[in-house]
Amino acid sequence: MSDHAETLCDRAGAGDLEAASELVSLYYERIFAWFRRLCSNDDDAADLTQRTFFKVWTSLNSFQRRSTFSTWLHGIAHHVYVDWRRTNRPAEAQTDEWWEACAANGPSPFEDAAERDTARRLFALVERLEDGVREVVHLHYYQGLSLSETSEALGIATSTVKYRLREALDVLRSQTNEPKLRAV
Amino acid sequence: MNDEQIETLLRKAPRPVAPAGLLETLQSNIALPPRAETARVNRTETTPLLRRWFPAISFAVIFLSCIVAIAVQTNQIAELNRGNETLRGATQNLEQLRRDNAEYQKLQAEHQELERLRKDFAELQQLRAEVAQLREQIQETEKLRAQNQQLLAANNQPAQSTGNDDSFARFEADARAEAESVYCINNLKQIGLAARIWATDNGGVYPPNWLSMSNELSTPKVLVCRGDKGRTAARSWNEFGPGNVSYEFLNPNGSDKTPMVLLARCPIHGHVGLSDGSVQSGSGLGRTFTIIVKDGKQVYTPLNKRPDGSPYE
Repeated sequence: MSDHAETLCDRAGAGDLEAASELVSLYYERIFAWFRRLCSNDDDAADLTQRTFFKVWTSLNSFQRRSTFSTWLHGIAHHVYVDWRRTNRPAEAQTDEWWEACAANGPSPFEDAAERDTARRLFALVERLEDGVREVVHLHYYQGLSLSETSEALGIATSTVKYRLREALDVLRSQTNEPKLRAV
Repeated sequence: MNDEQIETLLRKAPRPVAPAGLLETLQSNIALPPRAETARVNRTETTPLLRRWFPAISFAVIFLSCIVAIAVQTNQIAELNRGNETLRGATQNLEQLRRDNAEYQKLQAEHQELERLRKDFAELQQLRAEVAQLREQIQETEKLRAQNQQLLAANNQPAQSTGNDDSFARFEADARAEAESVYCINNLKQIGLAARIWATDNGGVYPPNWLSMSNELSTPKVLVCRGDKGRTAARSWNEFGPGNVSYEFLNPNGSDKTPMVLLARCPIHGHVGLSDGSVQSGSGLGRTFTIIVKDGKQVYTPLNKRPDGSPYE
């Protein structure tokens, strides 16, 4: 997929509108999903997705191919989100109902109801993490980027990504193992 | 829960579904930048040809310059090496020629010295022959004298015998004086020859005194003139002293490069030995030279006219 994306990127850079459309169809759902997890409503997520792709087209000639197109796209999306956060209110944490509704839209990846319930609470705990740690969890686990891709997209060192992930896992492990959580 | 379980659940996070129409909106909003190739072509066309090729041309010029410089330097080094080889060979020949020339000069000098010694030896032989001839004359005179005395005794004629005796005595005295003069010349000749041999062995400098020539002179007897009745010859060099020499040594420590400087002189006969080994007779009306003092040395000077005023031939 990466090679295909690179080819489409080259063609789009050469003015191929079809290639650009295909790039959009390949990545818009991932970018929208990321924004949707970070924002509280669909409109903001859609707006941020449009801003992101607008910046992609204006910056396409400056894409140096030092990273994959996906990483570069997530980097742009991160900056768009940061700018949006700077001029708007802080993001609201997603409610448990949203996660339930979100999980109910497609085939469930969870094995049983207990696991789904644990996952729902886990996602809710993630939303309570610090912003930097939360972004790392979103990109690495939700968006499926590797450690190096996550570090490139956020503009931080790989060691920082590892540290933040370790910090997130420590918090999540400690909170999921609390009796109160287990009793829920 | 452990970390692995947490990570597994996190990776199963549900993906929110994009609202309908978002894809169409995004695709309709695509605004691609101008084509990079077109811009590149335009940039290429607007850039002057020389400016575009300047880096390559500069590199090529520098590269060619380096190659030319290296070639020129290599050629110069090769020429210098050849020149060095030639000079080295010439230097070896030069050293050989110098040695040959020095040897030739040395041989030539020795040859000249040998020729001079031969000439001196021939003159010495001639003097010896004259001495032998005079001795024969003396012996003949003695014989005639004995016959004359016998004749006088036989005839018993005192008056006549007295006259014959006087003339014979004068003749005998003249002959003896002539023999002594020749003998004196022979002595001076031997002294000059010995002094030259000594100078040859001592860097062209004559000996400081008579005793220094003890190796060159065969006997100290040659230092006494037979006309000098007040002096006797030493029997050996061990007994040699100031009283055993008749001649004046006039050029001690002198150089053999001044041939006309007097080396020795006989105060009895006036004969002089010059520094070149020759001997000039200083007795009688046939004297053809005078002696002048120059730089403290007595120098032999030939006369243009005879003492009686007639020119020399």
